[in-house]
Amino acid sequence: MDSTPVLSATGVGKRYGAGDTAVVALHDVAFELHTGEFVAVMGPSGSGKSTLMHLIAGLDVPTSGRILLDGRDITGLGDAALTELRRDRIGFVFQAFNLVPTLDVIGNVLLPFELRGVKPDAEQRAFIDRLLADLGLADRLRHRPGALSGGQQQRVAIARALAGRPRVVVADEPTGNLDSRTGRDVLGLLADAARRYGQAIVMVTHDPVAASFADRIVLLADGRVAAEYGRSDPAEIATFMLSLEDAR
Amino acid sequence: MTGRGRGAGLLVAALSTGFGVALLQLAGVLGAVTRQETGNGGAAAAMLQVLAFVFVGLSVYCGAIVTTNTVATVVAGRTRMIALRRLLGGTARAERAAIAREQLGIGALGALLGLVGGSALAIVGYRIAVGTGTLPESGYSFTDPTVLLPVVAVPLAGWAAAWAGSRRVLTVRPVQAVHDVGEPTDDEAGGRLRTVLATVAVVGGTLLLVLGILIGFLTPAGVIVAFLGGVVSFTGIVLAAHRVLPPALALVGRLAGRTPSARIAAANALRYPVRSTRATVGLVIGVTLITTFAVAITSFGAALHHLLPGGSGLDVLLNGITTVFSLLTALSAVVAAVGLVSTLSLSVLQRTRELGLLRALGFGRRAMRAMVVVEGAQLVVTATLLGLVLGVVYGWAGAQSLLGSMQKGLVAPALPWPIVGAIVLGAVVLTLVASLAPAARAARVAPVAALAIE
Ligand SMILES: Nc1ncnc2c1ncn2[C@@H]1O[C@H](COP(=O)(O)OP(=O)(O)OP(=O)(O)O)[C@@H](O)[C@H]1O
Ligand SMILES: [Mg+2]
Repeated sequence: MDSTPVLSATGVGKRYGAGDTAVVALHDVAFELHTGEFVAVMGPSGSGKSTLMHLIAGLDVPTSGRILLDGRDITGLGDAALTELRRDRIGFVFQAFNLVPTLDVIGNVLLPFELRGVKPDAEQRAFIDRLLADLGLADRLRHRPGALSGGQQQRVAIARALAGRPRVVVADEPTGNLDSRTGRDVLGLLADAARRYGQAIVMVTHDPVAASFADRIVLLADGRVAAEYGRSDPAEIATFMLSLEDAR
Repeated sequence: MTGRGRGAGLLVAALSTGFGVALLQLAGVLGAVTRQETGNGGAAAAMLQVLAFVFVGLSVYCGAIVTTNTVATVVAGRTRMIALRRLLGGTARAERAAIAREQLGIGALGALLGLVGGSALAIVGYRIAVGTGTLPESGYSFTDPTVLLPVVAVPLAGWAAAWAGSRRVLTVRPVQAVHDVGEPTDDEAGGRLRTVLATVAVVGGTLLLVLGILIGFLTPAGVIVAFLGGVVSFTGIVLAAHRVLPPALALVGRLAGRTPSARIAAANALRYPVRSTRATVGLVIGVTLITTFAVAITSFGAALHHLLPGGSGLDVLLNGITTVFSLLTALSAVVAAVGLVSTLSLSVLQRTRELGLLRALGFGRRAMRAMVVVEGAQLVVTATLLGLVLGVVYGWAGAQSLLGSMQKGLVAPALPWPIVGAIVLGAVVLTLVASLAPAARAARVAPVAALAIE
């Protein structure tokens, strides 16, 4: 793609702790994400996938390198600025525990708006209604998360992440707790959001089938980018993963 | 018990005994003085005696309720330790008996301290009154055996209170030692029996209260019936707290506003109704008792002043009551604060991941702090309002039943505005103090905590 990326990370490193017990989770990682792109990040356990997501999403700060969001360097930002950045520009889907248990479905979905102190306008409201209908949540708006199944909860989290049309949606193993059929539904929704609304999405997954929904696949190993592939089918992806393990 | 629980228990016992002893001693002195001055005891001395017994009863009751609540809070905080002992073979009954026995010992020690302290206070007060010429010399020896009444009653009440307060021990399961099974949702509701008991107590107590007021039109002894009615109905309210408080909390929660932090805080206070009830009920009790005392004393004082000659002796008594009473007030604030801090801390500790999620979604540190403060304020405001209303009703009922026969009609409830003001101020301070540490902790939760999977 030739447009300027929504997000670009260059030379990003992350070290946890100091001295003898220090762990270097990422070394010199470069990563880009464009509008309307759905990227899967894969790699063995401990390869630094979650760490990279945290840095991209402004949940944590890198120890070296630069991360630009819409051309603005976010690496030097303090807590207040990062909080604002997450609130205004990032959407999240985690593996589990995505929802505020004391708010109902619609309360959770609209929470990002409330935090920004704005009400969704008519167009945004229509978008959200369509989203909730697409996600099969339209008749669940007044339910608390505790009354929903895991798959439904995950769909609520996706609705919340997409509702505010953030610049980037970050999803760390969003299907990790779901059965394969529900997982596929969720992935279809994410892929759809990228295609239909031009949403930029980066997703961590261990599942080759999940990754086959993505436009691009980035493989991490030992805190480095080991390889990148375009859209691939599950069998191909499984082979990439195996070759990565053989190489180790 | 933990050091804090033990210290609180000792303080409660010492204060409520000391209060009772001092009152009985002062009533004895004033009785002797009145007899000496007027030749016979007369209505005034009898009334002082009745009044003293009522206040002694109130302070024993107050001490018992505070003890029940402290023990319940301490037991809740020690669930894991108790579970471990249960796992290793201890029976729930033995655990409970040990807690009650310990409280009996603490109560006995406190009662002795109270006997000495209360008598000393009364003697010093009397000497000062004699020195300044307020009261004449009398042959009163301060060795009237009736002052031993609170010394015996307080430890026994404490023992019973600890037994009642440790009911929760029975619900602790040995598995809780090895992994946290989460907060039981309605563990202490105690089912239908408790509700029935509570209803009977509230209805019966209210009827007694009304009866006491009616008898009060004939004789000051009506106050004894009214006192019983007050004790019974308030015990009913405390028993039913798990039904009364959550709706009240919900109502007050609406006042907190519509910002996300206020809404989440309001919902959160209702999330564990049992826990929130436990945290607030102590405060309700404290505020009710303070208001009851204050309204009753102000009303008595106002009415008695023009009914009785030799009002200076009365002033000494009323001032004595007010002084010792301020100590009780301070104590219930401390106990309430301890309960509130532990509730709010627990609420923050158990929600680390949820708080992380809020941070990830864009709650700033200030919003996190505000959320905890609002949650605390909701508990405090609810308890304070409820306590003020109950206290005014009880205090007025007390004054009315005591003075009705002399006033020949209704006594206006005298609202002691300085005390109401102090209560409101105290509530604000309590909210801030109790939510300080938990709020700071909530603000420190890192946004990545949301992603931690155990
Ligand atoms: N807070 C932390 N403190 C210290 N080390 C950490 C911390 N978080 C992650 N690490 C280490 O950083 C490395 C990368 O962790 P990360 O969570 O990014 O892996 P991952 O690729 O997401 O793994 P998984 O597939 O198991 O989720 C690991 O060695 C991990 O132990
Ligand atoms: Mg991970």
